[in-house]
Amino acid sequence: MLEYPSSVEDLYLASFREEVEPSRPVLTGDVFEGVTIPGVDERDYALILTHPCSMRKDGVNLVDRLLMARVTEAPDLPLPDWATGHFKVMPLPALMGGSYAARFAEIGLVQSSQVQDSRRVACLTPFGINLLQQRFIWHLTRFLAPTHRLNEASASVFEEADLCEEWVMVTTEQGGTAHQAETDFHEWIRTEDESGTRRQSDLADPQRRAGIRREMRRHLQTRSG
Amino acid sequence: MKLAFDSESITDESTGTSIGLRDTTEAPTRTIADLVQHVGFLKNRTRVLVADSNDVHHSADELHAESLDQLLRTTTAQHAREPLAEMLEGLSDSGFSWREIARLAGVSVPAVRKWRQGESASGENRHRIARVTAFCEIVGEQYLIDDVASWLETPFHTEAPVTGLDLLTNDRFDLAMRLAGDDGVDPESILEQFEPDWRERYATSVEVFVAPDGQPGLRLREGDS
Amino acid sequence: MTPTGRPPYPNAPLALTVLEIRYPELEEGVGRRAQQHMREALRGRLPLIENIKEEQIELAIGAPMPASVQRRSFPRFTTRDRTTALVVKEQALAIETTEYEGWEENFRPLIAQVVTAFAHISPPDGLLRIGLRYIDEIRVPEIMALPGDWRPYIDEHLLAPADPGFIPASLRPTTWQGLVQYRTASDSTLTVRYGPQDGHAVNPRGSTRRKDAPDPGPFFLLDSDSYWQAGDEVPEFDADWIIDTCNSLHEPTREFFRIAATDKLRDEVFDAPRRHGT
Repeated sequence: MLEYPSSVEDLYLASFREEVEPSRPVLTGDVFEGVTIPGVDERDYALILTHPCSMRKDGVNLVDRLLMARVTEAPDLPLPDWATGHFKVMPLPALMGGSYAARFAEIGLVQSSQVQDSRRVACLTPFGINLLQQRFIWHLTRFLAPTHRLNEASASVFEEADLCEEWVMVTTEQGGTAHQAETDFHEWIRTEDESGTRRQSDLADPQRRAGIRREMRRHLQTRSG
Repeated sequence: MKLAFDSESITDESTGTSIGLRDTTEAPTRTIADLVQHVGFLKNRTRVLVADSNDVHHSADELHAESLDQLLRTTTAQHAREPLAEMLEGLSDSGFSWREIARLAGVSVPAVRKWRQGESASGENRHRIARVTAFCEIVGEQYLIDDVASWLETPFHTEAPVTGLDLLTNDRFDLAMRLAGDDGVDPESILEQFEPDWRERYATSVEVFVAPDGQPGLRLREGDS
Repeated sequence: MTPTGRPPYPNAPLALTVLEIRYPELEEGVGRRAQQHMREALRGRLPLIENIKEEQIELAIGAPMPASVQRRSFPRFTTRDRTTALVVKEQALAIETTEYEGWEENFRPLIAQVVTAFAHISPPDGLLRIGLRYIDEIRVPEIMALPGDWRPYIDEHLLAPADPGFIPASLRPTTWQGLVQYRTASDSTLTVRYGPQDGHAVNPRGSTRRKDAPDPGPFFLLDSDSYWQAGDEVPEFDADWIIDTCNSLHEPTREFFRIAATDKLRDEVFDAPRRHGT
């Protein structure tokens, strides 16, 4: 049936607000505090459901509205129980030291400006995002999509997010602004390398990713002199 | 490129003969893998000697595995004396993402971030980083794997998403070493030892395809719908 | 490989193409300066360079002698997608590719560029052997297990050991490999190894990358090795002469491939849309 993590740690890149790296681009699975979801309720925690490939209109700026789910406290579930029930939620154990869940029946479109003004408190790992998508797809359609296929489809976006985070972090440490850094990164990742292939396309190939990372790191070192 | 077969592999040991049969054909044009000798050739050579000699008590396989294990231990001990930041930068220069480095170390990404900022790691975590560093060095130098990070990130079997990183994360350095060093190893045998239920786990009729908008999507494989 | 040496086949069976040139040993191997010059000369085609270290260990079993270790290093040049590589050692160089895009369009110009640069930068004292090898893994969707009925796809003359008209019913072939050598010129030979095999002939995980390697399974091997070998006289390492010789070596391999494959194989398999490894 549905899959579940072998440990809670497999879910999160950051599970406390202090752990969230500000330079990381906003992505599916990110949890924010103080978000109002129209038609749901007022200001509370919310998680982004919008697909990673659909979040940005130009590769840098978020689309006008993001689909989000209300996140509330929930009973702690044994991990194997995720597989056979609780299909209306995505469990979020150990979030902010407590036990929470994202509720698929309490969703709505939120202005991305509101999201950007809110505080991000958690980010999921790629595996966490894949589990989230699997459960949401199941909730909507009763179709079981294996997480390893979901990962295959989204892996390049996950890699790009990691690279962007690193680029922005290095750039802002050197005094640049985050938005300009994201723009510069986006331009770089869409440029063709010497072999004529777009670096962004290369991220879809697991054999090419390490090479892109090395190239980016060399570029950042050269740029900083 | 190593050829996966040779003329010996097609037959079992032939019936002995008192006549010295001579292959009169010219040795073939050599591929790059034929030109490049590596440590594994010792294994092949001693395999022949074992068949002929009564003085050797261990098979070349056992000797080979033992010596690699010892090499990994000694190289790990050498690297463990290096500053942690140096080992981390080395892995980064190789092309690993920080997320992968955290996974290999068995810690969270924020923990690695703190290490990079100067915080110390536990002895166990240092040892894990040293071991990964040692592994990468050994397979790069002994087995001439040009891009270790790419090799570890790429699934080693076409029908399962399991990578060398998965082996290392689960402490199966032995299997990863075999995968690196033995041109004749069947990846499926490695997979069987690592995840005996891999066929059931990864069997799916869902495939990834490129949708008309150029982005990946999921669908049922033709013939399965 | 294709009859015209061009790549019109979307689903060509060619897994690997290799050119190997052997020469008298370079005393100092390919030194660092020569490597740098080669790198500059080949940067447009083979922009990546790696230094490969090699250890040769000599053991005497049963004798109380220490092992001796010889260490050498040599350059390996590759394309960024690692599907094409050049290795230069003290006694031979080899160029190989898993993305053959035609003799005239791609591989011969690459050979010309490499040998011209090498002849200029670090010329060996002579030429001993030039070999051009094509390794085809011919896979047919309908054949899912060995030995397979290849009669519609491969010329019958290459299937003789399994011909029911030849083999008694009590003998069931499981697999076989034929080997034939043809004299193509006074100093040139074409050797063809052929027969049904299983898995891969060319390692899908080799250091020269195979994009979209097929799944392991039954295939008919055509391993065509066309080579010239020095006789009593060892000629000079001359780039133009090498290129002309390569042209001559290419013809017989092309011809053999043409006669080995049936029209059905060309039409229904080679011309079918490219199948990707899953």
